Amino acid sequence: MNKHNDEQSDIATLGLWIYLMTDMMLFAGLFATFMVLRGNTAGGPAAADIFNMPYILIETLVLLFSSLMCGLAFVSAKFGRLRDMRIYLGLTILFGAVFIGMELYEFSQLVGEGHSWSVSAFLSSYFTLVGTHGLHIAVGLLWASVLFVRLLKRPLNPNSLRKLGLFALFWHFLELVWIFIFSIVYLIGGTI
Amino acid sequence: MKQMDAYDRMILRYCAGAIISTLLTTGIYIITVNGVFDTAIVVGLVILLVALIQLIVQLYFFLHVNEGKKPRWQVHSLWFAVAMIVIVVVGSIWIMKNLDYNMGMSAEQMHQYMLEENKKGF
Repeated sequence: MNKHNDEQSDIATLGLWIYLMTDMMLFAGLFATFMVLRGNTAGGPAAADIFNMPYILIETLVLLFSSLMCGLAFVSAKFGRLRDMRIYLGLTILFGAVFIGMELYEFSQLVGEGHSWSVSAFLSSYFTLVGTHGLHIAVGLLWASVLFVRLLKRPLNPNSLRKLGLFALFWHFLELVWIFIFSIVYLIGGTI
Repeated sequence: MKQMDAYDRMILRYCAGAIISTLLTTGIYIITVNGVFDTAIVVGLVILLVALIQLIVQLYFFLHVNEGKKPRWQVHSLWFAVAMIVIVVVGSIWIMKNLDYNMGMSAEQMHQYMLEENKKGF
């Protein structure tokens, strides 16, 4: 990697990192809203009544596995193992898609049972927080798919390695946010 | 051969992070669902503590935030973000609880009050 590429890579990482930090502010606001409003059920169901806990645990582990695969894809790319990288990146997308599918199914179940976002402040804040995370995952999947197609055609170069690294950073960040959604929304919300 | 070893080490590092995270997630799930601790505040604190440990584990194993050669601004901006998050989240909860307390009305009383105020017109 020459000096120019190095510099560009640093700037790109700085840019994405600053975006991620501001994204954390967005999620902080939504978490604060949820924690303030989670008791305001307005006669509707409380968190403990509607969450299917084993289902959420599986969802969490699926996303963790997807995050692991993404890390392995980046390591493989770093060592020039193109075939491994493709398999790992493919699994990242596959498990990410399973995660978003599980989440959409959960949402449709809730709405189908009459627990939609218009019922109470608690449900509004719940759908906003978890839905925003889901939206990020959906965008991440689109990003990963574009990367996957591009990496199928071209041989690996420093530029594509950098792009994969940026995606990996984003994907790991979403997994970090999910840890707190799992802990605060589902575990604390569902039991206390 | 040497490169092969480095590759395996990196792969193992990610796998170790994932295994620790899986154990922590499953562990706290079992503890919470089975109601090992009775007091709500203890359960909440334990859950938050485990979430923080997972955060550190993933920052270390997945994001390599702690690696010496990496620029320090990543760590600095991360601390700044954490400080902002604590201010936003704790501050919101604090202020809203305080407002709730000073309001001194139950939900039912509040409802009645609003209805009476609405009768007066705008």
